[in-house]
Amino acid sequence: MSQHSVTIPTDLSADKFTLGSTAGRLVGGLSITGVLALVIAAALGLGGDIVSASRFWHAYLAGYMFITSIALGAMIFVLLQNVTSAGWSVTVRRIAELITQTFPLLGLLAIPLVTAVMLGQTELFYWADTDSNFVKGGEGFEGYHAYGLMMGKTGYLNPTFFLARMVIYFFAWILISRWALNTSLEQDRTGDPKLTNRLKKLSAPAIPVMALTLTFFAFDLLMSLEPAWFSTIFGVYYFAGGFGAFMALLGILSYKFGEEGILKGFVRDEHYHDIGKLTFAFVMFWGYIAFSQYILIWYANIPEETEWYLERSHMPWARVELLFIVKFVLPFLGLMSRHMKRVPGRLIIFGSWMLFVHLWDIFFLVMPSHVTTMHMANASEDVIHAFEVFPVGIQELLCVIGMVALFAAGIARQFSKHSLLAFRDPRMTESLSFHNP
Amino acid sequence: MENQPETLGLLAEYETAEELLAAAERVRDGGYKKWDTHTPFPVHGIDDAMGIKPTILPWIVLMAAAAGTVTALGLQWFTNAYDYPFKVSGKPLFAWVPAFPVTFELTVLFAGITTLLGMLALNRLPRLHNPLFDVPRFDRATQDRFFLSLDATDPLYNESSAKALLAGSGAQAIDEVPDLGADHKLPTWMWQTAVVIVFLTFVPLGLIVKARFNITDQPAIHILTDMDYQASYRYGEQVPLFADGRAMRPQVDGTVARGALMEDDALHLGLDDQGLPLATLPMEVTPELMARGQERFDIFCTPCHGELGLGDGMVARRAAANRGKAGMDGGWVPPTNITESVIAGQADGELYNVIKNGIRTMPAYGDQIPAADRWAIVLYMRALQRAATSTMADVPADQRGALNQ
Repeated sequence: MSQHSVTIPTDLSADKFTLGSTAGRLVGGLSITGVLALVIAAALGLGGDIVSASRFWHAYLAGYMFITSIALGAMIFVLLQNVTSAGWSVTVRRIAELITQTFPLLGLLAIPLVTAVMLGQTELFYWADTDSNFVKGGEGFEGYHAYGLMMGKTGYLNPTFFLARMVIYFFAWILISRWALNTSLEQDRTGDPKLTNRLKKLSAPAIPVMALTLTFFAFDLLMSLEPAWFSTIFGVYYFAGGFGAFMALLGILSYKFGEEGILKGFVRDEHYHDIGKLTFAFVMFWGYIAFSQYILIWYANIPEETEWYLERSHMPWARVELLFIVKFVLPFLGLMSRHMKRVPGRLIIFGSWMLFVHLWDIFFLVMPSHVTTMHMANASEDVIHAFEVFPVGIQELLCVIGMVALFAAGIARQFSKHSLLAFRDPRMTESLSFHNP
Repeated sequence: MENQPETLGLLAEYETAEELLAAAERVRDGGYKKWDTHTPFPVHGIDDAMGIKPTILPWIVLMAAAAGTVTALGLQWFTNAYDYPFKVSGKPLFAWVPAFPVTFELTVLFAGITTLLGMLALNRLPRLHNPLFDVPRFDRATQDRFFLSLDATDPLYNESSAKALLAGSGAQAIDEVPDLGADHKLPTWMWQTAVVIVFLTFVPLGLIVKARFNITDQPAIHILTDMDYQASYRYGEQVPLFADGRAMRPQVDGTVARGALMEDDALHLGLDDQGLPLATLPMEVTPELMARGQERFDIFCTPCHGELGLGDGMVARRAAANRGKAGMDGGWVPPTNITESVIAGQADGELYNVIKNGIRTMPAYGDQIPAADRWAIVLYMRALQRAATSTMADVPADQRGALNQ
């Protein structure tokens, strides 16, 4: 048969695809775990000197940027599916829509970062207070080595403007994610096919908004860790990694629900195949972007640009070559095969790997800045060396566990409230019957 | 009927893709191996219905891609780092970063070409004629009908049972494919021409090889003459246009080219009225001139002389580090320490002259640094010389504390 003869059951209702208490039970435990882990990490870090405070803030930022990148990837995935009228993804789109509902939570988790900046805490962002001795030099501190270059950027990198930008980012993200989900949920109730067209039309202008906010978000929270350094491709780098990580997560979740859960019969090998292909594509895209950034800086060999990679080359785990191997070569070879993508469950292998190396990549972006801070704070060489060799201690573990637990709690809460399937989408038949060639 | 052509196989016609799929499943389950389906458009699921095994093409392509990777890396390593090692801008002779784009391109190229050629080879293409074309009904395979063909060479083939199978599968019509015995081989003249053309393509290659191993006293062959013989005259060439035959026109007596008037000997030559080197700058000394001098010094002088003029710039340090290494030790003369008393004792005009015209192994910088900037550099050199001999007494009293730290 050229098409599976698909008949969509008529007795579908939102209750059938809502996890309810199955997921709801997890929310409490995950939330408590997350808050506790973060509070302990903060107590450990902020109670000590500049070095321990810096370590906490860097760990917090790393965990935060990891989960945020996944939510941003989900948001762009949803908009892309809407704008391209994608039929294949109808049965998995709602999962992504629900993941994007974590933006309010992510906004809350950003408040400590913004507060630290507003209070002029310079352990993380040196530009938060350019008059402090720690950054400027004096009273036993050498100061930031590229102070002059940083001062040329204070028109952009200053606490007030930073606060304003963060408010704009989260306002835009919450607005877009709410609108996308609510319109889709309305279709669940009314079955009105016009809503699909409205989603398609309005998702198009939302994409450049996402692209710009995401780019500047990455500039503000990651690139400005080393204010003298700059790379215009940096926003794309962050997006490529985050989208790939989101696709990996979607591969895992759709398998979980498709094989043994409430989406059984709706999500099948063809969907895994397409999700796998997008994951594969973004493995390549990340490699392409990361390499594009590296080769230009390598070739030009200008001190103010190479500095960023030089710092990383001192750390055995942050060598660019190693990152290329674990985040590009291995998943590229692994995901190339058709069977790797189609056979149910196989995607979990490289899905988990992609999530792990994406966290590794975020550490690669964030942690070397802590080394700079330690040098500025005259930390002992032994402490610095130990951190360079292996940057994972109790602080990092607690922060990552805390962030991931809170993120999971946020997602579980959405799963418990809403249907996991946009069951009245007019393209449902297409999604159930398509074949990969 | 003795003139009846021999049957090569059977061709069954179906009206819809669904019927064809059902029939294909029956033929597949019947155990036939040599058969095929023909449809006006790609039909999903036909692979499964026919029991076709996945193609090995991806593996062939993977091998070709790996070969491309190895070829590209090997080629770059051999040419850049082994056969003709040539240092450019201090870059390593071979590094994976610049090698990557070429490697990527060649990998994709090998994979792409192999995909096409492998597909053709596995499908036994190109094929000029198929006996199925001799069945008139078959024309509709490109329009609106679906066909299934059974080859008579299949070991299971038996005309009556095969016909029964096809008839039972809902075929609209069943035709015998006639062997018209037509000679569908390539005409002799065609393959002979092809052989000649292939042979001819080796001729240019042969000529190149011949030229590589022969020395000739004949002038080069000019294929594109407009590049080799241009209408413009070259440096020092003779022309019939002028009485003296010179293509380069000398300056007319009593004239100066625009912007080339260098009237002021003090400014441009660094000489006073008696033709001796100037003792002081021929211009007003200002903080701006000093800043300009520092900037120009940092650009032009520091690579060899170092930021403080001590003769320890990056070039000098690298040369010192390479001293004694094979192929790297070119009789290097270290740059002068410009704060030495010998240099400090020279007149401003003498330093100016060195910048403009060079000295010993130091090249002339007159073409790159305009006159005013040369004086600015002289001024900054004086500041460096002064700094080299300074003592604590030179530091303002209120800033000595900062130095002590």
